[in-house]
Amino acid sequence: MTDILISILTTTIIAGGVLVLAALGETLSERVGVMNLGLEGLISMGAVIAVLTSFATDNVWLSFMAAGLVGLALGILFAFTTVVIRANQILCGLSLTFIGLGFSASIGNSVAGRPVTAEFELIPIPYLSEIPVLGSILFSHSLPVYLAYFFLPLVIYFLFFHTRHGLNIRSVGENPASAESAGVSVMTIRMIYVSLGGLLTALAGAYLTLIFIPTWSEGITGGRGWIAIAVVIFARCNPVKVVFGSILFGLVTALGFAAQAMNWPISPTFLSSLPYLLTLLVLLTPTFNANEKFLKNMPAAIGRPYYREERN
Amino acid sequence: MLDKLNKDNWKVQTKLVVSKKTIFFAQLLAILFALFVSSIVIKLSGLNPLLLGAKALNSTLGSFFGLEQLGILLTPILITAVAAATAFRMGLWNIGIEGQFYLGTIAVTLVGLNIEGPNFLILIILVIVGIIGGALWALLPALAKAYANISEIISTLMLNFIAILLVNYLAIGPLRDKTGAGVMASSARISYSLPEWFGALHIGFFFALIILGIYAIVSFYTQFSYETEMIGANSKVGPYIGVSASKRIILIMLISGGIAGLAGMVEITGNIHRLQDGISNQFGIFGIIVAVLSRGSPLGILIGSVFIALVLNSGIVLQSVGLSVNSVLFLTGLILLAVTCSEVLVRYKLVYVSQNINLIKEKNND
Amino acid sequence: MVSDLSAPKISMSDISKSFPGIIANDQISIQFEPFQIHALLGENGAGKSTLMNILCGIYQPDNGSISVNRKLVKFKTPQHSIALGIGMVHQHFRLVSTFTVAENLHLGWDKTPRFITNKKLLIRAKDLISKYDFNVSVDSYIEQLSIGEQQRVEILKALSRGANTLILDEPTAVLTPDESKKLFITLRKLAKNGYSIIIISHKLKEVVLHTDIISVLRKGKKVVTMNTTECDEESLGRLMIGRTIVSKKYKKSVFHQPKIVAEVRNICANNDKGMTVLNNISFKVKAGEILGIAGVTGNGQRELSEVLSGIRKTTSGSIKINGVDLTNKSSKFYLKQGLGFIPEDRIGSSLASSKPIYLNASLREYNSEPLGKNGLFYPIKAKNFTNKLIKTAKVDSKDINIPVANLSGGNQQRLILHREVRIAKHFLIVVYPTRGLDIAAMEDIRKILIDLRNKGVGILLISEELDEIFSLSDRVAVIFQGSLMDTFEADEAELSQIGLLMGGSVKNAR
Repeated sequence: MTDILISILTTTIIAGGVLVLAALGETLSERVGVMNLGLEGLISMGAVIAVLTSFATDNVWLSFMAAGLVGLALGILFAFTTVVIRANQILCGLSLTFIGLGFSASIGNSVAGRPVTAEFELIPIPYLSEIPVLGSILFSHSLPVYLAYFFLPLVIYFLFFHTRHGLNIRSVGENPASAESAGVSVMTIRMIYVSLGGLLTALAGAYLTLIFIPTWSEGITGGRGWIAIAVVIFARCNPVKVVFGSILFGLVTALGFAAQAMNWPISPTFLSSLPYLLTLLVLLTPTFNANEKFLKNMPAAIGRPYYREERN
Repeated sequence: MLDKLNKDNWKVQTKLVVSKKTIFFAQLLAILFALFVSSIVIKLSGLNPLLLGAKALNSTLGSFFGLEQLGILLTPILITAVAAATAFRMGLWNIGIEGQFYLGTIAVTLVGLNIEGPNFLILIILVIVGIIGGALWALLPALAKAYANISEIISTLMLNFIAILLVNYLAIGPLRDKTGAGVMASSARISYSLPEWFGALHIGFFFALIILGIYAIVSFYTQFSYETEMIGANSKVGPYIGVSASKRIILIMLISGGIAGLAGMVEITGNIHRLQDGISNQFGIFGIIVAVLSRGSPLGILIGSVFIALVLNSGIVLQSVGLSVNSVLFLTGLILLAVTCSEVLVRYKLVYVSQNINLIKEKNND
Repeated sequence: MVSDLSAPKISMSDISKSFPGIIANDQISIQFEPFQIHALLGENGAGKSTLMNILCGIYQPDNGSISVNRKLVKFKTPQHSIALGIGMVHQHFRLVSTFTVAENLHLGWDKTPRFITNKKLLIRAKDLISKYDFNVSVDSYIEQLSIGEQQRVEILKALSRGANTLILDEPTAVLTPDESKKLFITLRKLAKNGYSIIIISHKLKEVVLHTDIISVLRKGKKVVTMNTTECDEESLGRLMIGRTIVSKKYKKSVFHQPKIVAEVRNICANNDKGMTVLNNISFKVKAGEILGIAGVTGNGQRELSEVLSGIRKTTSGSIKINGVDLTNKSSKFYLKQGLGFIPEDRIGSSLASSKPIYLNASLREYNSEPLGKNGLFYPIKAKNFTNKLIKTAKVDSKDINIPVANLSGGNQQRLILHREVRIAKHFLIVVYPTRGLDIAAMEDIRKILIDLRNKGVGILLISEELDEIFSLSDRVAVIFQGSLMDTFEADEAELSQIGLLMGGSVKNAR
């Protein structure tokens, strides 16, 4: 019994890692006031690039980084259109989704279904990994998992809430005009963090095909990009809460796998729909969403392009 | 002379007014640019873009079968575009057209398999059923948006995924065709269908045109549409003129969903005749793209739908040369991005400002 | 306060700046010196804010130069000018309302330590406040503070950045007379200590009372710079608009009808945040009279106008329009009773700014003939209607298909006014009708209101300009924190008395 539990929880952590990375990327972007709806495309691109690179080089770290680079490039493109050109963020994000999904499907065609052989080493943390139960669930993973769950959220949290730079970053998302008056360069900060957001989200894709489901196929992203956005809303752009939200969604996925593997009498389709149902639930729950208090906790200036010299 | 090269002497200003013609040309340029970029990508993968383009156009427009297929694709896209445009008119991002489409097909299947009667009568009932199915699927996001200002983008999107899974579940499970007639898991064949008129092209094609026509008339000539437009542009206008903005949001979302459901009904009774995976070839997404590109104009929806149907058909046709169907998605994504940017860029103008004492004055509009 | 050296001398030469369709600054030359309070006087649109935004590095001048202590400088970004000691307190505060006072003070500041905690910020903020002898609680969120307190935070922010030239844009626009007095005391103290204070204002009285030097701007050009001691209100006013202002006192109403068009009894209402903003207000408006409601912005005027037009619900009390009880009914019913409403923020509530002029012009009559019938709407008829309307309203626009946002403020106001006047058969509510307009437009609008009144329409006029209230109204009431303080016949009231009531001096709260 404990074995099953451990296995479910371990899968939870691994599954949730994709969401953590993608959601952290989106957090960076939304914290500076830009909503990026292109996550699905970014994850897809990151996933396919990682797979292709791994077949070409058989080196997981190179594959991981290659995905990150592509994500950065796409992030810069998206940032340029929304921050410099100031085109509609929603439409640019949707375009990015289509572009990413379409392009990755095309280039991934030749390797669809082929199992990825390159692997990340498992690095159990000394002492901590020997704790019964918790040790194998939390502390016996590969580096990217630690990156996603421990390193990145803490770094981002510290940056945003305990540095001078972080104060400036947050002001850009709350009130860009005030930020600009105070001497903060809104355009620069938005370009930087939206691009970095793209990088992280693509890394989520690499994580997906290198660690979680080591192969490429069309549609492997399965809506995770959209779920990541829901996680960010749920976590109100707070990096630490993002981790917990992702674990929750990861749990739902893990339960789905376990049910299938152990032939629990639940329809597999229903299990597959759980993440989406949970997202809906999270979105619609009154405590989280219904009133101003919630809206106040999201960066106030999300979604609107910023014009420095706008008259009146 | 040299100071024309100095970048500090140039400023970017926003134009106050941009004519419709200018916007149209900007969009055209954007589409050409997107086609150009895609052709480069195609070239890099070893294929000849011009040859592919010619082959695609030829098979589509140059043969009976091609035109027939074009019409079959055009029909649902026209209707989903109208569905999307209806919501966009009010600034509501109904991304859930796909899911509402599917709920239309589900509702039609559930009723169509369990009802008896003359074809004509049943079809009318199924039209109503399809509309109700689609509208119901838009109800939850509508209420959430109207009363709690919850973004309809994510809520409708999640319902898309759920709808697709629901179709799969029903087709494989409770509604599965027990006679084993189909290779793919699907429901039994619905015995009521829209008659065909041009090869396999069914009269749903005319439905679509009629729906477009109704959309055109309603959007230009009704007080309802006027109110919706004004409230969509500024929600505070609602209480100002005594129209409840929240009630209007719900109504518009329901109508949008209903039309999407109708698209599903037309597709399933006209073309597929069974409930199964993949009835919709991303019709919802393409409808949204057409609605965005056309900016809600009925003529634009017509032209845009034809264009998208052409692109989509090309994707299917070119599968034979190894091009994945999803490369079409790539092209449409590029088009959407290019057009979105072009509409904004066209409002900017570069103004040369002399550093001389003699100021170059802007002509006032008087 | 100021470090050993006083503020530098700043000189702006031949500054010019245009925006699409308008020349904001036309070769303006002006100097600012320490130990002085220098007023930039001019009406709306004269170019004062633009000029100061250039000084702050927010806008770039198209032409001209700036020098600080005789050295030429170019402010490419706000940071450059902040570095040279120029600080601006904007009319619309540039504070992040979801941050605390302490966070706002430290925003974008290179003296903020690299690594911070909330506690550290609070301690540092407290130090700053005591250094400049201000009085604000550092851990409050900006949105919890009063306007006067927020302004103090803005000033403190500028001072702590090392500003020794302080620019204030219409600082008293949102203050009570009492808070304004306090502000000028503070400013005078700063000036004595070597700061250079620049005040942008359109208020003649204030400027003459509290400043040392006055520069008058008109239509983008600088008209004159004089010592305040050599000025008086009347001559300044003339310089501001280029002709003598005739502060017209319109003849009082000749109607003595007993008919009451609007009757309000004990109404209470909440604002958008759920706080009580109207406290048991009662009054009546008769046909053919103008009831003016005076008060500083933010005392419930907006909510009062919304309640009276059916846009906002009341929590108690009753409203009767034309004798018909319409309490908490939809605004459609109010409109049916021949009510017109010109709200405080035109673009905000009564126009859809991205929509064409002709659609906006049709907003009140789209469902009546000839524009609309039986649920249908006729765009062509709407366009004809609009062409006629803009002629009557003297709106200068050649194309009624362009978005209404492209019209100037004055043209928008004229459009709305004429649109509402057409349907206001019995009662018109008008809020800050001439805010942001030039004098010619103001006179036009006031004349229209008087004409309407003479036709027998009852008008509720809510305004912040006491001169306007007295010139137009038959009776005057004062609103303060959601209560009506007192109501007078216009002839009997004294300006000073009204001023006191506006500031909350409770004498006869009704």
